[in-house]
Amino acid sequence: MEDMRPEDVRGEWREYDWTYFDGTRRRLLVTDLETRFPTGELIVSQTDVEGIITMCNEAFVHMSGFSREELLGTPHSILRHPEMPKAAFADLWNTIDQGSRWSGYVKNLRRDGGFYWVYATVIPKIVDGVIVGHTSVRREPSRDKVEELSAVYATMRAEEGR
Amino acid sequence: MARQFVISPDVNVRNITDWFILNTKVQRMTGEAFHATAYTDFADLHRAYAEGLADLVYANAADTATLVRDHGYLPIAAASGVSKEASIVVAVDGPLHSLADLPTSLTVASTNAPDVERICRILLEPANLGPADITLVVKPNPVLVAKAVMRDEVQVGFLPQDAYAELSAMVREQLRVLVASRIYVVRNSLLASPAIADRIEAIWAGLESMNHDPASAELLAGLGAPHGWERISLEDTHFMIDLMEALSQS
Repeated sequence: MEDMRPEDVRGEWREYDWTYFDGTRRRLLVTDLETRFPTGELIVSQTDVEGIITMCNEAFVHMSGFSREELLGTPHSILRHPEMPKAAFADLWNTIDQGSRWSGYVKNLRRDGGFYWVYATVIPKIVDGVIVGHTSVRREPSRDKVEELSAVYATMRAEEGR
Repeated sequence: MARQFVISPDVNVRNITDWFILNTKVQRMTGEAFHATAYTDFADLHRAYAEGLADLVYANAADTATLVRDHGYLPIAAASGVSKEASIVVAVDGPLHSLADLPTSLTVASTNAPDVERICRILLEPANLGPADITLVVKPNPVLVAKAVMRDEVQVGFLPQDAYAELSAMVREQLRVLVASRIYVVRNSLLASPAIADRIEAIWAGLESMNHDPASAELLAGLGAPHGWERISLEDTHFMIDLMEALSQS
């Protein structure tokens, strides 16, 4: 994934040299500008078993700030916000790799450096008994839960030494 | 013995005759006798499924999941560009103006349409209202859901958006839409049982010819398919089922 560029970012940003689970690195530029989830809508996407985006709906395009062309064929982790604890994603992958459903509150990174909160559910796509990908549905989160999880995730990040 | 064409109770049937006309067309498409039943009760419909009395089904999303995953039904078509959406309504002169105004427990009137109930329960999640916080009162039809809200029997009502649009102006003036879904992927599907799998292409060819026939326009509108029929694949259907599963609160 390409580094984020200052010219794509809105507002004051802070920089992270981010290393993904597979060892690849990306320069992240992060702001404190939140985009609120559109009431009544769902963000829907599908990935292959490697986490590469194979399908996304218009709400995903709108909320992420990326074009559909930029999203398709790109790892879903392009939305990974550095202020999410690694343990949350480890739990997600452990759960869905076992063929189970995972739900949780996630802070996602936008193309413009801002963020948006979702309540995400990820379920495995199983064909002939084999996991061939995942379907992810994100819906509007409770603001009380967002406040609660922001504090929980900050503690988890601190425990991860970040 | 005639094949059975069954229509789910939560399909918005404006004119039952339209479905019998479609049934006549299906008989011409397949060269087989079909008997159409527009069910008004889910228990009767599910009994028909269990007894194998459902060869061709116009099914809601919830039943599509069971029929496709557990009984091997195959998708044929869906109304093109038409999705099932829902609205949560309140009394226009009541104290509830936004999700933030909702109390910590809620009384709700709804029909027993499972897709609409599931969508509306999702819409209430941002207000911290989960299954245990909602008391549901089932009404026989959308008009009685609206009346229960207007008479303060319940605090909110769950309604399919097409049914809300068809309420009389006088009723709608007494309601306010608190929140409405824009999900786009939940839809009714025309499904074939494995017993008539060899008739699917013939049925699709007939449905597709309706799309191009100006004389069918009025019938298509009456069937809730004003833009015609769209072929749907098994993969499309599994995607919708996955999505409905992801939206379940169990």
